[in-house]
Amino acid sequence: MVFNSLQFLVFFGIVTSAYYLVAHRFRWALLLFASCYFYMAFMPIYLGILGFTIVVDYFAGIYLERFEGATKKWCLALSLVANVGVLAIFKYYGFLTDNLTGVGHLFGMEFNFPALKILLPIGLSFHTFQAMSYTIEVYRGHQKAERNFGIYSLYVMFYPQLVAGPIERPQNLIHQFYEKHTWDTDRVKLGLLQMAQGFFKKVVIADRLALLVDTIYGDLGSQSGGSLILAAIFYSFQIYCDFSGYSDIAIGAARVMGFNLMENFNAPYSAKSIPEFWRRWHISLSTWFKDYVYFSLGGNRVSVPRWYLNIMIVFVLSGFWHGASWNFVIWGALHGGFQLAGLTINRLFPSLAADAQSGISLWMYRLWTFSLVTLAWVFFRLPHFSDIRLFFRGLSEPVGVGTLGLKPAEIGFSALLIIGLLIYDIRGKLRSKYFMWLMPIFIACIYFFGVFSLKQFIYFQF
Amino acid sequence: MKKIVALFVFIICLLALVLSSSDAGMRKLTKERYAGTGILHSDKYAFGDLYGLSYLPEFRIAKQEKFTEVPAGLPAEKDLDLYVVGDSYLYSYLDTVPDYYARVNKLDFRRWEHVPVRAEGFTSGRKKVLLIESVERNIANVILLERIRAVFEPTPPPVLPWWEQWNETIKSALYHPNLEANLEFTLFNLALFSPIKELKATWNDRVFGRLAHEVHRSKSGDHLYMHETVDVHEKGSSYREISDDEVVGTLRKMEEIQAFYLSKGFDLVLFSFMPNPVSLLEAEKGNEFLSRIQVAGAGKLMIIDPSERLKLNASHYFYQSDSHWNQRGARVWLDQLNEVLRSVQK
Repeated sequence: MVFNSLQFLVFFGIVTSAYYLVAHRFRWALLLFASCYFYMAFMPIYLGILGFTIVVDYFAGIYLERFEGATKKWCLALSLVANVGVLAIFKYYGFLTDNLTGVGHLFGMEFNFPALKILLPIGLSFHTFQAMSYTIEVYRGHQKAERNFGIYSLYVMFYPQLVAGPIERPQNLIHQFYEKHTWDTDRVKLGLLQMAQGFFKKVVIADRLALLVDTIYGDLGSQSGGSLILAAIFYSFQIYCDFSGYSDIAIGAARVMGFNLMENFNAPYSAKSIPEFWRRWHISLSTWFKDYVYFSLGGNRVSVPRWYLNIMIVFVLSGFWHGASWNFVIWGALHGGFQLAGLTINRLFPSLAADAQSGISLWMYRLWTFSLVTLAWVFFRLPHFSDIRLFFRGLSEPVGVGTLGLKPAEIGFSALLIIGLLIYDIRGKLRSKYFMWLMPIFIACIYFFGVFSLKQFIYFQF
Repeated sequence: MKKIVALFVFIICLLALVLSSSDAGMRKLTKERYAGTGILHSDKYAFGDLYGLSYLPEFRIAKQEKFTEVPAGLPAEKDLDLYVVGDSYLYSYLDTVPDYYARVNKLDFRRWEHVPVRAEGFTSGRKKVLLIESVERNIANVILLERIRAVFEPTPPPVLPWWEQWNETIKSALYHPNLEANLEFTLFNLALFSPIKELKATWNDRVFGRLAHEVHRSKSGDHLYMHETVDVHEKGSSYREISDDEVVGTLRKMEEIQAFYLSKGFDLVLFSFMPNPVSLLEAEKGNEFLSRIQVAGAGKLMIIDPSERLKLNASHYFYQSDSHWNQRGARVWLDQLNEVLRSVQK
């Protein structure tokens, strides 16, 4: 069930109203049932995969608390292997076997791997990472093992953030299922406003930009440099509004019921450096990698070459997390490379560090950071190397907007929305006291300016 | 008070979900919505199907609801049984009674989704004539012997692995395949919302030059067409380049169907294809698919092509905001068919 559908609106109305109608002791069961219904709308059978990781990690949590020493380590390792194994089979198997076959050909070897005709379970990387964060936190002693199987299942399956995050930590979420949430009008208003903001970002901005971006990226061979640059910039905002719109809806829907989920975005395109961008973009994933991978590798408390290696590992893994394809790996490696280049320059010329800038130079840094991020998105958007080649070859074509019938009014309106978004990102803040006039404006804008194509959220594929 | 509000929201949403998940409920609702007038009924198709898709206010032109008049002066002799497989070009404009047709005693009309027509059920000694009718844009989808044969000789569905069966069972039990469209119909297909829909359509049209993606406006601006009939990438487009081989291929399929039905007991098979409105109203760059079929099929197949007669005054025979002809257009075709039926050998 996609958020930008009437099915979801009706589902949300039923579940939220039922949540406030039933007694507190039944609410977790209601949410678990609703989450199963929500997830099964994509592919009912895949509930089994989710069930498998839930059972494994539930018992792993209990045994992690019970055991010490090597047994505890083995327990964690088994849980992680089970989780990564599910990812490996359902997400990476095709990629690995294709590449092994390719490498085998180079050495004159023939591999015949059986083909798995399976669809990628929706949101697999998200809920697997959330499940893994539970066992790691229990292992580290930061979280008690959850005894109530239903509550633990709900931690993994809580519908607002089940398929595209934010990737929660058990310390933040599990205790909230035990808390009794009473109706708080201000909180409900704020939650609804945040949902409306998310719908606005998705159907008014992201899906509108998608009309232009898809047109240009769909015919790369006949584009001018101007069109390609325009498409690259628009895609940066499309993916931002698409994903942050999803996060807003998820966080807002949870907030209406009294749950606080972590914020996932914080004006990422106002970042003045790549490290700052990653502190503002997909925060729940970047902190996941920082907490569980980067620090485990030693972080920056190691030699400089090793530190650089740690950074690169994290970014390449982050790219690989997004998809089983080389373009995502390159996207991650590019961000890693940008980080390392920035770090090196900062070490050699401290006065050039982004934090030391102000005034015009601060804006130049922001523009430069945005340009680097936009360049990397090209690799993210185009899965085939032939397309990437076409894109960069096309950049040398005479500048000017292409001839695919893009309407100036459409481009101008999209640009206006982007400028509004940037200003709002830096200055704006939702407040419940504005609900009575803000909500009708949101609804009217969503209806009149929205593009209703039931287009999937980009991050659902991960 | 908060509990009452929550209960109200719960009941409304649940009702919408249950109703939209029920085929019987949707049939009843559809019938009621289209039966009456007023803001709580639907006016989606009262002004043409293309108005209902585009909501452009300048195309809010009332459609005539009545069937075409029964022609006078038909022969008293009723020695034919007419079986028809057809689409909305016929059933929306001609009542399903034999009185419209020359020499026809009994009429068996089937929509395309309910093929085949079986002659075996009729034991009369009258001649059995089968008319196969389709609009031009649908020819490639319906003129397929496999489609017809599959209903006569159904093959058992493939046995799915247990997990796929389980998957399908759960999915069909919990989620209606048309739930999104049904919800939209239930909640918003009301005349009450038409002014708002028109406002949005006008904004998109005037500012961005964008119409609903199913709809295309004519060059002169006074007709709407189905987008698929003008998009050169679509199979049913009047502007798609069609090779002579493709024309021959279509004829071959028609001959297969004719032979199949003749072997099933029919005495005569007629074909009739209704031109896409754009094929006649903006014919200058059309592919002339229908006339090419007519020429190539001469002597082998009986094809009733109303294009030539309709072309004489095309804008008189087609609605401006509908993908079909009007009652006058239907009458032109009917007269042409009756000429053929009168001439059928006894």
